[in-house]
Amino acid sequence: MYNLAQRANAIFAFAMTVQFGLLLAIAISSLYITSNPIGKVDVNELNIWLYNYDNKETEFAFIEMNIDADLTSLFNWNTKQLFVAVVAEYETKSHELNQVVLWDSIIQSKEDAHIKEDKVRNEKYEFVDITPKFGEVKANYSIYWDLMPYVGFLVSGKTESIQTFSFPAPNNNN
Amino acid sequence: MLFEWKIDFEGQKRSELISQVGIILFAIIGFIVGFLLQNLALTFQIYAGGIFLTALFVLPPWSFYNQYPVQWLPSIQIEKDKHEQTESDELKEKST
Repeated sequence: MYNLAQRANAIFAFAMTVQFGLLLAIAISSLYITSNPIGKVDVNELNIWLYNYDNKETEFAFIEMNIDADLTSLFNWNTKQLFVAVVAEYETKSHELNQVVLWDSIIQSKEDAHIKEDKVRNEKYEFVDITPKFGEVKANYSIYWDLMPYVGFLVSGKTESIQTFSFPAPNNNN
Repeated sequence: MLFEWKIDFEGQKRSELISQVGIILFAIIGFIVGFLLQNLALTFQIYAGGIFLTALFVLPPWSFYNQYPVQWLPSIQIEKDKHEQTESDELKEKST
């Protein structure tokens, strides 16, 4: 602290130390901000078509759904963006947990966090089982979200899923 | 040096205390204001402004930091080199 250079150095070094403390305080306190994300997926239509895939006759599901979700409560001072995905979850005899992403979106502002999408189809992603056939399964459709903060930890969760009708028989079954 | 900007010992103690208290205080204020208004950018604006203000208070050699100048002892006049030599010889004899 004797001359200018020493004082400038001391202030800068101390400010950096305090800044890391500030960032840590922001990161930890953000975990305790409560949120109440709600959302539901209504399936309007579910059709299955058989196509040849990898030399096997494979069931491709085509879904049409309405998505209604209010994720505005996830936007706090430390939220940079949200990644939102509609995931179909079902159980088959051979595999206990199957998860297929049907639709996704990146939300970057609180104004866009109220999602209301009608007649969404799985155009971006194929809805197929790991085996060629789904069989008689019932799937849950839920909304998964991942919160990306400016500072701190990635937080994720999902809204409650709703059981819907079981898969129909393929439309072009011979 | 043109910008050495020296301060005295008591001033160094004061400037260190002011800089540390100032920076921590602005970090806390920034956190609280940012949290209440839910604005992260504001937190860092307050913090950056706080560092600038603290630097303004601490960096220049304000008269506040130079109120206790070091009191040096009066300088001793040595008459001759020879006298000094005999003195050191005497000391040598004493020690042996």
